[in-house]
Amino acid sequence: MDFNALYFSLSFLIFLFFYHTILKNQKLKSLLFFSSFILIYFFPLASLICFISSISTFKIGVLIQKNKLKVNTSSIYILGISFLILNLISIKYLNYIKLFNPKNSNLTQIGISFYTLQNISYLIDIKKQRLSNNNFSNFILYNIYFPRFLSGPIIQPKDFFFKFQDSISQKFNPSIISTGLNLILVGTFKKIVLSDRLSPIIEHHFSFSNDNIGLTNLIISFLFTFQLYFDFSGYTDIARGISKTLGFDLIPNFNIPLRAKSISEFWRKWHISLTSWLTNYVFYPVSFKLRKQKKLGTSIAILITFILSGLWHGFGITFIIYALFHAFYLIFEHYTLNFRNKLKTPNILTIPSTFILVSIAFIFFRAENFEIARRIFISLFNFIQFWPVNFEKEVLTKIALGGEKINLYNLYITLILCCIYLIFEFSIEKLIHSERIYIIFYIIILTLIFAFGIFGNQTVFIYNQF
Amino acid sequence: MKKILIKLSIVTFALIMTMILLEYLYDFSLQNNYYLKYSSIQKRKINAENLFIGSCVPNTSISPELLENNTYNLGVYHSNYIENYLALYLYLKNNKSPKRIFVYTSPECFDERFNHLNSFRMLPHLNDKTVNNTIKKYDYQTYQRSKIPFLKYSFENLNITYDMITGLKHYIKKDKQILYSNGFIELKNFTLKRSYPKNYKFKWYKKNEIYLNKIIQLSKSKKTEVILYESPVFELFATEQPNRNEFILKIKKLALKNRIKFIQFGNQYFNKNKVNFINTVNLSKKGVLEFNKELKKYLCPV
Repeated sequence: MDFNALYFSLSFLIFLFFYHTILKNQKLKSLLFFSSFILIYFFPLASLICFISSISTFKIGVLIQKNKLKVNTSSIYILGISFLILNLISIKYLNYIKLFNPKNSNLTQIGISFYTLQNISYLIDIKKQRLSNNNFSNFILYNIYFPRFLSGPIIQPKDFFFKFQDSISQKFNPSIISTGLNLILVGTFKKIVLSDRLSPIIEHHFSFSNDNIGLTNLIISFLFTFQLYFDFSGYTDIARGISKTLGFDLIPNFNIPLRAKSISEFWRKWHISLTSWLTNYVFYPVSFKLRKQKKLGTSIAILITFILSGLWHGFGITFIIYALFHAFYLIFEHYTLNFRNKLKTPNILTIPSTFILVSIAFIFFRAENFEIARRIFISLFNFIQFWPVNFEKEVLTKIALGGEKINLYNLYITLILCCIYLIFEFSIEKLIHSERIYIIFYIIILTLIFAFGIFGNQTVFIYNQF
Repeated sequence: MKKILIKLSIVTFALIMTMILLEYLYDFSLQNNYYLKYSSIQKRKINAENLFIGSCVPNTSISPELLENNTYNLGVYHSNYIENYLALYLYLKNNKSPKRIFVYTSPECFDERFNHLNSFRMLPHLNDKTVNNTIKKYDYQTYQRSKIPFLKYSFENLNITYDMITGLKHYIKKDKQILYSNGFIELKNFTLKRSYPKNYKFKWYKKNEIYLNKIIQLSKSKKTEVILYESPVFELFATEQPNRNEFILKIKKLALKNRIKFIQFGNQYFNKNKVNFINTVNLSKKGVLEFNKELKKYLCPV
């Protein structure tokens, strides 16, 4: 947490008060104004790109709807989609080759992957006449709605244009504040206690030359899976909490994914908004086209979907390999579905094996470059140097980034907190979605945040870079 | 609505009380942690005759046990002269003025690459005006953060929570056994390595000079003799620094200006022997034994 977060929190609290009192009849306009203010104030470069992209998409949408140019709407539609994809690729590529000043290179691409997908689905839905919209302010808000601007969740057009106005216009119900607060608190806990405590360990082992033994690297890859999960789901909880207090329910992006029993189940529970976008707008159309090929067609559709998902994350070869891993897992699952159904493997085997497979793929997702990823990956299969001779020296000290008592203490605390959260995740999820205020729960969470949270090291949410 | 407001007030009150209690717990526990030098020197009477202050070099090389006299080692890892000044100030608040204060002075002490002001160690002592003003002047960010309600320690959780828990343990167990009672921390076995690149040029930071002067003035005001000293340096590495001698000359001038001694310990035989060192300035276990023998002769001449 940094001062920006504090400024944001304060300005949001003031806005929230006015939003539910003086501005209660102008909610849409006030949201548009506050979202624009936040965006322009904190991310001026990104906001400029977002506004250009949004205005163009809206105009193309209007042209498709009215067919003013009296030409085939398909060409306008293809032009629109190509513009959005080219815009995304060019900004990402310019960042990839570090054309912008490295200090603010990420600032140009903040949120772009998310609102580009929203804009593409908007144009598709307009073209397929599943949606019609001529309201410019509504459309701008669809893109810049501040709780979800940075890293989603991706809102599907129908969810926004059909539900948003109704949801926020409803009479104030105090329960939205308590549920929203629950989500914000738990999200903050996940981010600044769990994810940020793991961050220096991950940063160290995935950024520099890695000479760890296999077991150490395996544990570190598990820790990265935890970190990514806590970081991204923490962000989503905060975004959902903020949105809830404003009266609109964003879709949950995660549904206890680390207990998935297969890779396909994992993808139904992990980054749900992206998965459902890719399923609806890539996987289904492609597999429909290839339906005559049966299993092969589905496999090709899986492969295309995951390669696009990898490219959506970035241009590095590591993202493509990460995507190929998952495509391979899913194709394998697809071909062995009947056999596995007959086998009925117990959860005690399927959950850990899914977790291990996911963690191995994440090595490529996180590593700073291909060489580091390759080294870590190979070390996992170097059976001669997999087990340590001295566990404390080769595993604990390495993971704790030092053998001093304070290093080990910090590591143990982090691991204990992560384990406690994961064990009680189901109950916590139930609790935060309740409309009640549990004082003891608040006290425990706040004490943990204040005593074990990482404040002031300015780590951004991992998914902000996409 | 009224019911909701009442409930919200109760929750807010409970949360604020918890946060106040938590901050108090940190203050209390850190001040009761006898392993923390700055807390320890305020909780017990040390009243040493010879006091050594400086960074990790004195901290790991001055062994009061080997010196066999009333000596206390006030050296602290990675600390610069600003922190050393505050350490001396806190020591003198609760202890008699020593007869002699030895201030470790080497070119490294003026360069921020090696030592700095670790403000987090001073957080439990911010109630003191001098400490508070110094932190405000030299580390405004930490000062500013410490003033945010309930977040005084939160920005330093990774460094401080362990110490807080240890302090709490000391209090509950009524454990006053000090881990490093004379301030000396013995180094483990390390192999010799360079601590900075070849041909590294030192930079002279004025604020370190200002605070070395402040240390001298504070000691003089207590009628204590101040001696600047440099412990042995590994010659092979030391000659690689192009401006080491220039800095030593500056230190000598500084000592002359303040009319105090500057002693350079070590000799050709000691400084050339790599088994005595773990880097340019930090001594190995063997080096510590030899150096303390030499120092003992200086402190208690026969």
